[in-house]
Amino acid sequence: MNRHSFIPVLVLAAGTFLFAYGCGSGGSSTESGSAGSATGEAASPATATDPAADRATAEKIFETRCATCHGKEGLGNGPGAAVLNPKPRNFHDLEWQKATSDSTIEIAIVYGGAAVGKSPAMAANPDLQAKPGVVTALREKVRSFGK
Amino acid sequence: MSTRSGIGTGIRVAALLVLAGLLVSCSGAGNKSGTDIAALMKERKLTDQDVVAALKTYTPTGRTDPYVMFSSGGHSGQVIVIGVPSMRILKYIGVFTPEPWQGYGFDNGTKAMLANSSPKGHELTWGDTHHPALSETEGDYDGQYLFVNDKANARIAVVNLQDLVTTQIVHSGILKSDHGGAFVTPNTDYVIEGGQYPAPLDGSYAPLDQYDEKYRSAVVFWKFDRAAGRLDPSRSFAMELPPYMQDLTDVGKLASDGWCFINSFDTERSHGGIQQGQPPLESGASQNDMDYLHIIPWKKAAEVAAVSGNTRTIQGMRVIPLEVSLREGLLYFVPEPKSPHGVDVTPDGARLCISGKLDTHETVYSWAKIKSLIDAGKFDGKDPYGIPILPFQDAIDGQVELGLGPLHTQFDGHGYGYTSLFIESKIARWSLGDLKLVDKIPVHYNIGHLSIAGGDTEHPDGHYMVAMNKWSIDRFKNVGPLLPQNFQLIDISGPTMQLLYDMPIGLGEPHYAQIIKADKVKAIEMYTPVGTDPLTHQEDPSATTDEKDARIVRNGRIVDVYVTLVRSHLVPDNVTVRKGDTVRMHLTNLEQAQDATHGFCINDYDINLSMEPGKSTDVTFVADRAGVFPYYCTEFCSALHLEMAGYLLVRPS
Repeated sequence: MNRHSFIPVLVLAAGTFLFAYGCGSGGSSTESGSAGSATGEAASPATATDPAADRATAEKIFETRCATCHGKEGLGNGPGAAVLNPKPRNFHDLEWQKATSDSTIEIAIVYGGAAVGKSPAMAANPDLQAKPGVVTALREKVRSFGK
Repeated sequence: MSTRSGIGTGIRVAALLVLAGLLVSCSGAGNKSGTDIAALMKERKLTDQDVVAALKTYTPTGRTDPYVMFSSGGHSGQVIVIGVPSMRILKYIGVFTPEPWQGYGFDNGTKAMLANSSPKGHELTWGDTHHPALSETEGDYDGQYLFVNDKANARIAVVNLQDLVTTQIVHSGILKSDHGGAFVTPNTDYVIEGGQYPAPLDGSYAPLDQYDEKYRSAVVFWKFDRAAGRLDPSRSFAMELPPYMQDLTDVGKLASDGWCFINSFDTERSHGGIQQGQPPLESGASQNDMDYLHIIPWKKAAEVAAVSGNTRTIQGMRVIPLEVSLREGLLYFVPEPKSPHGVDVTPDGARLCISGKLDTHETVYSWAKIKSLIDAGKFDGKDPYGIPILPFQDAIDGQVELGLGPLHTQFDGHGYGYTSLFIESKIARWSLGDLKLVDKIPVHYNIGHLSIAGGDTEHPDGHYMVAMNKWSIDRFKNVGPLLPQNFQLIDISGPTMQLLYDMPIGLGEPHYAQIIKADKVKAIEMYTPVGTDPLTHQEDPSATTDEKDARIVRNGRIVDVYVTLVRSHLVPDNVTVRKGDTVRMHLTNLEQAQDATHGFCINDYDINLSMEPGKSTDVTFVADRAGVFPYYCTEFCSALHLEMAGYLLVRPS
């Protein structure tokens, strides 16, 4: 693949992702806004997710997938981070937290860093495309380091 | 799990069609090539039975199978893991053959394992896997370990089902072939390995005219140390057997616990010599109407072997000589007809079912009768080696006429035995209660073993049966003269057996398989913590768990390279050595993300490792060629996978 065409393709994919979020069947409980996706009031029973289970899954995913580079405490100093350039994001960086939208974080989680114009070394997590509740919980985990 | 259902196929299909109609009307977008099932059936020429078979086997994406089959891979020297009923191949496990995808036989640990089980200086690169045996607890599969034999070279391997990786291979040296392995005792105290083609046990030369005196067979009882997950040669023993060709083994359970059974052929002691005017083995070994089922009290044999002076050590293995077995009552025979093959103990342990390749019957022996004959010392004479022979008619419950070429029997837990009929290419279902043939189903073709879920345990699951057919002739698109084998999945839960699915196996000729409930196999998702050695499941002292510790350490002509892998880079990514240096690479995959496996290959040096998440392993080589040798990750690990590469530079010395 031509490297120059790489990022636009991913951005397109990310657009699809947003579209899927916005038009998800059965309700608005999983959109990426900060109003909280846990209420589930608008969701039909068929699409309701279990926020507690999603948070547990997100914790496990953070420990197994994210912490390798971002570190268990989100400081960007995991065992696989030493030679990375640029370095993994330090989630305790309050300026970054403030400047970055929820949807940017969620797109990066699902489609990798390149999809939001950041380092392509940040890998995609394709299995999370179908698990918006887990993505929300992961984004909340990332946000928790900025509080 | 459905049981014997009275619902007819027609009703089920009708229900399906109604459902299809509903789908079409709901979506409002039905079309003949999409969701109109009747049209699809017509287009693909499918019968109602075909559709039912499809419904019973089709597994949508994301769903997993209720059963897993562990099949020997035949000449491939591997074990094949297959989901049932979807018949999707889940994994090939490298066992006796180097397997590059898993790096099996390439890293130092597995390379040494293969080399150490080979004759000195002659590394074996294949195996003839025959009979996988799942470890058992109280007579049922426990999902912890798998054992499998290599008939060609008389080896037994241990596969750890935590990660489905081969962790040990043993070779006694006293056997030249081991068709009678691997079979486990009900609590996996021992893994039994029965020999086949007799030869001097000490490995020496003896001319064939000394066959009766110097050639012997044997059965090895490998002691399994479950806590260590290893066979312990120092606590294992063997029994010398007469020079007959022992065949299959089965182990008693419940009523017959503590005993094992090995059948045999060629009690004529024919050994070929066609060009010297002797009959070929196939006819020389088929002259007698009866051969001998070997009956062995393995628990008692273990006690006898533990007493000093009762064994002779041959090639490092403690062997109970025939005369000790006779003195201690460790070996009895009962005749078995004709050119016997399988011996299979019923789930309650009360009966032994014996097939004769050239007999049309299944002969059903009563364990109670055999035991009382032994206890009463009621024998019908002895064989030329002094082994007592029980009277055939007094030992059996009866015989069931099944058809041509019976080989192997399994059980469904509902009172039926199922016997493969090689010559007839059928499976016979017969009643254990009244010893009557109930039903037959054709299979395609030349069936060897068959496997039912839990079919050799105390509590068979039944439901699914797989016919392991040697020939496939007209079943698949022809792929040249070497045809695949054909596994056929059969539903045995109903009043009649239904063929569900044909699965070609295009890698070796699998012999036998065992099917276990999937939830009993609890495999790990990754190696945790980072730096775990798969062969020990312990932390590897040479692991590097943070890439800032990745380094190159030179000590004279030895260069230690501590390598880390993470998406998508290797550290170090440039390694320079001198020609002639011994390079010891210690690699660790830092990832803990499931499926984030990396590979590691070096150009021209015949190295390819598999680095699953958290795994640590080593590879040592001599940099005997100067030049530039790229290395890279051989698993497509990320978008920047191709960039996960480095250079090994070997300077001229």
